[in-house]
Amino acid sequence: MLDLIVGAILLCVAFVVGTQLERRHYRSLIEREQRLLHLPAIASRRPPADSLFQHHLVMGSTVVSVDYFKRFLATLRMLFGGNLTSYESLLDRARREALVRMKLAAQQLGATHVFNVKYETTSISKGRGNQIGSVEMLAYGTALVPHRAEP
Amino acid sequence: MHYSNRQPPEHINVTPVHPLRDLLVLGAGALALVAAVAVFAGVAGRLAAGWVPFSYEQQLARRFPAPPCPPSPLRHYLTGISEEVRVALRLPAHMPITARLHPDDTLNAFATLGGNVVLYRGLLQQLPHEDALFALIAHEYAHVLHRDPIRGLGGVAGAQLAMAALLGRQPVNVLDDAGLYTALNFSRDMERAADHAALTGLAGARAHVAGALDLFAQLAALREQDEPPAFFNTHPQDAERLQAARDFAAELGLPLGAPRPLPVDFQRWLGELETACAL
Repeated sequence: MLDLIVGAILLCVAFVVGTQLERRHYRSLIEREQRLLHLPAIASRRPPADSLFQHHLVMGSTVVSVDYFKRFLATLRMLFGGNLTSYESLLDRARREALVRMKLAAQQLGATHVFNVKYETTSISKGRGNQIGSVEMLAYGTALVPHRAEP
Repeated sequence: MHYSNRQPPEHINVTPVHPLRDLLVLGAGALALVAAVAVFAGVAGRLAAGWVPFSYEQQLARRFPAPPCPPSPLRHYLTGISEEVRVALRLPAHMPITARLHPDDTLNAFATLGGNVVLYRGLLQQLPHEDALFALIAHEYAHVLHRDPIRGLGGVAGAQLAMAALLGRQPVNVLDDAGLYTALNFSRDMERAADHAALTGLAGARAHVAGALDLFAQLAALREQDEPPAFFNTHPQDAERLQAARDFAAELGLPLGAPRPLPVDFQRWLGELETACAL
């Protein structure tokens, strides 16, 4: 019975705190994405073939962890199958955060574009029962820095 | 060529579902699934365990040996009652029963694996007469006859193993956690069948069932006290047991009968019991 009570309290706390943190992160993401709209990140592999730009590797990474509530919800979902909706927002935030950080790195170099943008995902630690503990999301690409804009 | 980014649209890669609604739906589904699996696995385990030979049960029970009771009037008396019950229930020869006396004042008696029946002094002291003692021993011996201990263990083991498989946990040591030598959880149907067998044996041996009626009435009276005996926890309601005994007597046209009293020194003999021993 004590285990059930402790588990219920953890679920409530994790849900409330996790929801607040997630909303705050999304607000921050949207604000920074809008500030960096002028710096396009493009998936195309082939940048303009001219000598006007220098090419620099830029990357942005973030490590996110799933909260107790999301992990519990995912465990229930895995009994029946279907979308792990509780992890969707986690990975969506991770991807967008990594991309924003990559753009910030490119901005600091004075880049005007980032080409050949790719993502990599790595599991950092496993939770109990080999479930997701924390995940690193890495976004990297080729930043094009105009010769005149070298720092 | 002109390159540009737009603000990424929301709710494309995230399903717009409220997490609490998800939790309620999935939680209810998981509870129902777990309950269904537990019930099915328990029933399957119980059925399968009935096929385990009694000799295997005895091997399991050899982990818990008990020294024989020293020669005493109590041992002689209870051995006689025990033998009378064996004959009345027509216990087969390959199913020896070891009745164990325990000096604890717990109001309990139970049957466990390998033909072992434990009788606590606390409950024996509360019995009003010999026929009630007969009915009590016959009830427990009937559990052994019906293989209820191994079936109960099979049910628990089946449910626990199913839960371990379903929830992805390490399998538990079912022989330890199932309480190998404690009061195993018999179903109410098992208890009713044991009651019926005890009534049949009592009617055959004493030509009446007053012993069973008085036993159930006494146990019901003990239940009303501050500390109800553990003997009741898995048993049918007292009123149901009493009515079943009355119906049984009426069906066979049995008289109420005069119960045989306990020996005068029975309480003193029980008081002299110091250590657990086997008859």
